[in-house]
Amino acid sequence: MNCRSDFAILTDSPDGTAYLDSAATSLTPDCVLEKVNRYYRYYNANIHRGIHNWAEKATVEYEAVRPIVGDFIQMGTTTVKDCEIVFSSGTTHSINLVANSFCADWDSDDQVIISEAEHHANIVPWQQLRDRSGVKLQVVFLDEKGQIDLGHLEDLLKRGTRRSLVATSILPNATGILQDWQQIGQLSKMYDATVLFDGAQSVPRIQTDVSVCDFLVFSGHKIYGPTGVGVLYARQGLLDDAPPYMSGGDMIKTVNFAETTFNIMPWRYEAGTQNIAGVIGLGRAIQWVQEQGIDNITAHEAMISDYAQEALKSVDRVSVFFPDSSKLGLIVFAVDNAQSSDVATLLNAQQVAVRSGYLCAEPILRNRLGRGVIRASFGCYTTTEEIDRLITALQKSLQTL
Amino acid sequence: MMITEEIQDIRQLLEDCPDDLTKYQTIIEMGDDLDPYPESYKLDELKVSGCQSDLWLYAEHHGDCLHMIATSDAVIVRGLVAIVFQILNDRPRQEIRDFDAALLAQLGIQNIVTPGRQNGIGSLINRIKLLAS
Ligand SMILES: Cc1ncc(COP(=O)(O)O)c(C=O)c1O
Repeated sequence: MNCRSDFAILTDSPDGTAYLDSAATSLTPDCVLEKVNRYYRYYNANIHRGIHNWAEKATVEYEAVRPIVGDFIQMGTTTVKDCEIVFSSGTTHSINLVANSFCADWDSDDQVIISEAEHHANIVPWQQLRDRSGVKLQVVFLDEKGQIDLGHLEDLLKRGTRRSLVATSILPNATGILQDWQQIGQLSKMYDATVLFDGAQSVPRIQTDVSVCDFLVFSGHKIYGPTGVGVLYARQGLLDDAPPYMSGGDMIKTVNFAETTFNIMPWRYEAGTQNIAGVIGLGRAIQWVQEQGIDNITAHEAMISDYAQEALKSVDRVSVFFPDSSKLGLIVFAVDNAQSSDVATLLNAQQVAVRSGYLCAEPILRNRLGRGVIRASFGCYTTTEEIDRLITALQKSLQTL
Repeated sequence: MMITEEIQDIRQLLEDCPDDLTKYQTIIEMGDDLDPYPESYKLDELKVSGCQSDLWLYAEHHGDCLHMIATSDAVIVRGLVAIVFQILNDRPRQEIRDFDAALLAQLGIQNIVTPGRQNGIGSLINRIKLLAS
């Protein structure tokens, strides 16, 4: 890939940071900054409401992002409809929306199945649902390769009494191991389960589609877009009549003091003034990804991940998480007799930026490793030179630790 | 030595480091000299929150003075504790209570010890002041 020149933060950066934390948030290309800037500079108005040119322009730009997203996540000839794309503030918001609206009438006859490797965003909302309504929360384990154990998943699906929701990450941020999501989706469908895929890490890295899921959630800031914006894809019919998670302006049809009629999908779930600039920027980010070619991005990140994993394995005292499985976009590792924040701090002193600790996925790391870790994660702009810098800086750090 | 003299001493030591990595190495070495901390004192109520790593602090009143021991699983935090101890340990409690944490800026390592950074130095100072009252 040759896209570094699209990022001012990479070409102009005075401190020469090797940014290896793209799984936390990706860098933003200049075209996205410019798109966001143009909104504020030339037509900074609220959407859906005003009868004036700027409001009209903002509305058109905002709504134009739905088909961009739809086109990006569609499969084959079944097009994703605009009414199936809800804008949210991010993955976390999208999952909470499903837990609160879609599952509003779920109770102890229903179950939610998550995997062992989920991000807190795909654990805590379900725990709260369980505590609120008695829904059973089940955890499917990973096999020795870091893949969701499909036999275990099937057992859990069989045991489900009434409704089941399978909510799993396609590419967990704590393992970097791409799941067999098509299989997971198809198996779940065989048992009439509803499927939610957390695509926060996968949508930016592989062609992720909605052929085998009912909900797909992801964040703008991990796919080269702005922060504070995200997507909830919801298959038509699933959320049309559910009680809205948030209420206020723009999500209503009519309001009087006796009652309110809620708007239709997708605006039903977009209460209040949305992150207009963020949505418009997200649209540009997805187009930018399409210009690069998502398959090229996959190939580049697979190459970088292999390179990094091999290099890390050769460093003394380093143990890579699931060393025998290939990774996409991120490598998680621990260092014997060194605390992860110490390692990250010394790497930072050498201008190498990584993540450390429990990565917002405390259950799997506590259960399997019993300690915090270090994560190096990549974007389509990451170079092998940056990985070399990581390895050199790591070796230097370990002389002290 | 006065508190301000201790701070100047440490400042000098760190200023002589050619780069950030060496600075951290020096800080880590300072942590090597911390008094041993008994395992049995690694209690939840002695934990200082606010860092990615665990930090335990135990204190006793020795006459007017506050005597402290502490440890952490992170060696950089141990080093920062050693710095704070060199400045405050075994001082009269009144002096500790009156200590202005803003003086830490004079160490010249704001990017490392600024309260609010994840290493928990801010919470450590707050806890020490509490124990001194
Ligand atoms: C797999 C996964 N799910 C969910 C999230 C939460 O995303 P956000 O903080 O953008 O809502 C993340 C981000 O760290 C993630 O990696």
